[in-house]
Amino acid sequence: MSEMMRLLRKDLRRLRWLLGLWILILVTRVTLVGEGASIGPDPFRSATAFREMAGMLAMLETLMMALLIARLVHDEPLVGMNAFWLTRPYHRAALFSEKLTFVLVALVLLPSAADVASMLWFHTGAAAQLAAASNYVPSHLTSALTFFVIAVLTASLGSFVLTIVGAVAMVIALGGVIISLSVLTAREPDQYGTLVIDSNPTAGLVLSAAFVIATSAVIVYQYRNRRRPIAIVLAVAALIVPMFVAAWWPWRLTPPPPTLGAWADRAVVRIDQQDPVELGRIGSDASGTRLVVAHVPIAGMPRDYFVRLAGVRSRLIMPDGTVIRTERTGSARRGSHRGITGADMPVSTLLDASVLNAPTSLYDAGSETWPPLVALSESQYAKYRGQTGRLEARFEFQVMRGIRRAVALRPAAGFDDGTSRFEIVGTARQVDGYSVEIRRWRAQSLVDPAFTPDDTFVLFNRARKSALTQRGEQRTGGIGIGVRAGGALTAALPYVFSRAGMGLDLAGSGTFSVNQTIALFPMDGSSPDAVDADWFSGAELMVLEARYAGVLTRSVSVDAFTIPAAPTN
Amino acid sequence: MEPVIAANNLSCRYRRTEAVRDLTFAVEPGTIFGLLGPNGAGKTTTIRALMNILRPSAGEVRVLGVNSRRLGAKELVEIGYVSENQQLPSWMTVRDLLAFCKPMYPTWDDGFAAKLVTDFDLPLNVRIARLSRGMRVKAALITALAYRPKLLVMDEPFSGLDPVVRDDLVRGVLERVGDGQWTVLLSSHDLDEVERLVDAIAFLDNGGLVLTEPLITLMSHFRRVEVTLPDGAAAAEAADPAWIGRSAAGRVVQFVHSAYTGPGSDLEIGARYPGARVDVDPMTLRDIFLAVARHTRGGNRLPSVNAEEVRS
Repeated sequence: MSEMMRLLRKDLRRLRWLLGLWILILVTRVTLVGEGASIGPDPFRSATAFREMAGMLAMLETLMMALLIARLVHDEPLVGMNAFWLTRPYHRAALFSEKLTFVLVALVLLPSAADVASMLWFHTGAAAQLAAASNYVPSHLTSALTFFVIAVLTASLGSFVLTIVGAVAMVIALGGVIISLSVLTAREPDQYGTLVIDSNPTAGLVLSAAFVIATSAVIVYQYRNRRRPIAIVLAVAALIVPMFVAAWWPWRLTPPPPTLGAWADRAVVRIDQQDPVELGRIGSDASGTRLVVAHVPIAGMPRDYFVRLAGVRSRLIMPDGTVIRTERTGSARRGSHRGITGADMPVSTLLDASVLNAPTSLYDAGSETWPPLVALSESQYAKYRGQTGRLEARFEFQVMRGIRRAVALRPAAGFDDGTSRFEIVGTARQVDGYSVEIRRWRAQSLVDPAFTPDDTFVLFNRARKSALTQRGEQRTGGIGIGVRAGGALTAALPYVFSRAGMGLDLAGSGTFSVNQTIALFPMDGSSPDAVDADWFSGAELMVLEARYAGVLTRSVSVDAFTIPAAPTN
Repeated sequence: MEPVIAANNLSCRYRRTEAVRDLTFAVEPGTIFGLLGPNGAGKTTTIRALMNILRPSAGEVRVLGVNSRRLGAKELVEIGYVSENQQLPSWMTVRDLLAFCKPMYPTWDDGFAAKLVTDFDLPLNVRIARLSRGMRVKAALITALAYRPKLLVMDEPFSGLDPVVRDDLVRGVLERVGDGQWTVLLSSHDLDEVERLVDAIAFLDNGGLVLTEPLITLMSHFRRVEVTLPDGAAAAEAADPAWIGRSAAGRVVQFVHSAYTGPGSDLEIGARYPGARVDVDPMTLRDIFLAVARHTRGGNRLPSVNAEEVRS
């Protein structure tokens, strides 16, 4: 038997009880993920309990991983001078290989196997398994390496725990200092934010890779040289350097954000100057801002596309030569005005059907979005109200695409969407309507952008050309895997970095998630005659998804643009 | 023949503290060498440096012909190590420990190990965590002896042990080393046991080497001298720097002669104290150690001894 195998056998024997507990935790997690996704109706208490248990289990898993690594490494500690192994004929390469093998098998491979089992519970295919594996394997690896590094720099469990507590306290304190400084030195916030939705996980990928390399280097160094002061310096560098590498990494490793199709080249944007509106002073002090918004229709946009947000960079040249410059994104929401660009997409339009209960929109029910064309100070408004000037505006429109999918209204019906699946768990006729229990699981690969489903559900009777919209939901279950207690810290990093003026987008950190809800379709406002038993038997579930499609950019000039003399309302 | 251990201007620092400075000594093959000194003298640091546990800040130690910094598994197969501070795998039973150690050493002798277990009356199926301190040292000693190492290094092995256990261990070591094939380096401040064991010693104090020489030579040139002066005679100051630890009470003057050569020294003392009665007694290692330690702690140094003169 080789020296490595002999050491491995020794550690397996020594840690057998802890390993047993570790496996029990993993099995519990698999069960919890499987069962937690389908707790059933009237679920609030159970769902909350399951989520609490899942959170507790994630924390327990992290603690157990830390304990196992500490016990494993400290049996042959690399710090101190009294360890038994130091004066025995150990080959350091064999010792390192043994510890690494143990960590990889017990603390990376086993949890990964649990993740596979959790996903198999939902009959996930190979593509989804591979996608999620590319995410959770590095996640387990980075967690294990973090504890491994701390273990090789400490001599005992006590010092290991104190080091972790100290490190966390230091990071929190550092974050607090950075945030405090940035708040104290904060400038006026930029009024023009980007409209491109680009959830780019490159920084997260680079950070993970750099962290794995850096921590591995510290561990190898310590096993080779056993010099703690230098190893500590390397470990601090391993903590800090990858963040800067990730923040300043110049190359994109993932696909670029989507762009609009050929229609975008032909689309025509104009300003409807018949109906500009001044919204009244914005801001509570005397130096408040006046915004002038107007209807900006887009011709040539396909029927299933719509604009969610607009950004404007404009200059209004007044007759006296004054140039009023404006750079703003965002929108003024005015329920009483007509839509500027088809700012949302009513279900009735999308399905070409009459809505029997309360009408709803795909994006934002009942509101319209008007872009701010001109922003004036109080003094400018007082001087130029009612006057006309030349407006030159450059628009950016955040364009979404409405995607429709029809699902038969029966259990197990559904559709696959890449590495995710949507399916109906059950349906039930209620006294005042209908309910559909829906499950959606999603596996995300390491390079997938962060994704938050933005779905609207509609019961649609194609023959009768009528629909019932969803008016509420009950969460009945749902759980994610690959989430650890350290996740909060990782989530805090981008914020700290952004406050420090550096970009660090760690999007795409999810792994596999299951959500189960009961969508409610009440018949309030509809005629009981119109929604009878036959209506439901002939209905199907329409899943309406608003998916980011790209940004449309246009420049528009208006020779005579009049600033309204008074707020319209 | 090359020494088994050769320290050459060895210095070791713990941050700003110089624990060992400029240490030079050699341990010849087949000898039992005692590294002696009070607590904090630098004995453990020296042993850690030669076992490659600690990196010397200057100088070097060669062990079995290899620089201690390069001491690896190949060399450690021939070295046994027992220390009062050593952390044995406490979760193992003695049987587990022996089974775990055995594959590391090609020369492991099961029969010898079994005999040592019997001789030391060690329970095989008890966890090391539950053993007494003496039993743990015995277990460590078995794992260090069972493969018949060329060099056995023992750092304060008798510290804190009861007399029976100490006697067991001393006999254990003496019996096994008696054939002269092993070399032993032993650090201790338990001088009674050391005196029974060692062939040569090095005295360390405050990180420095006070003296190093074979025990037989050492014992021969250290003598306790008591001079009883005649009535009315005044006690003269000590003239010879080799007379250390001088004290006077009434007509009696006492000191230690650190370079006693026999009749020549008697004549010298007689000339210094005419008409006085002079009693010269041999000293135990403990007495020599105490005298030397007290002397050197005052910043004094011992005069060098002419070995030829001592032998004559």
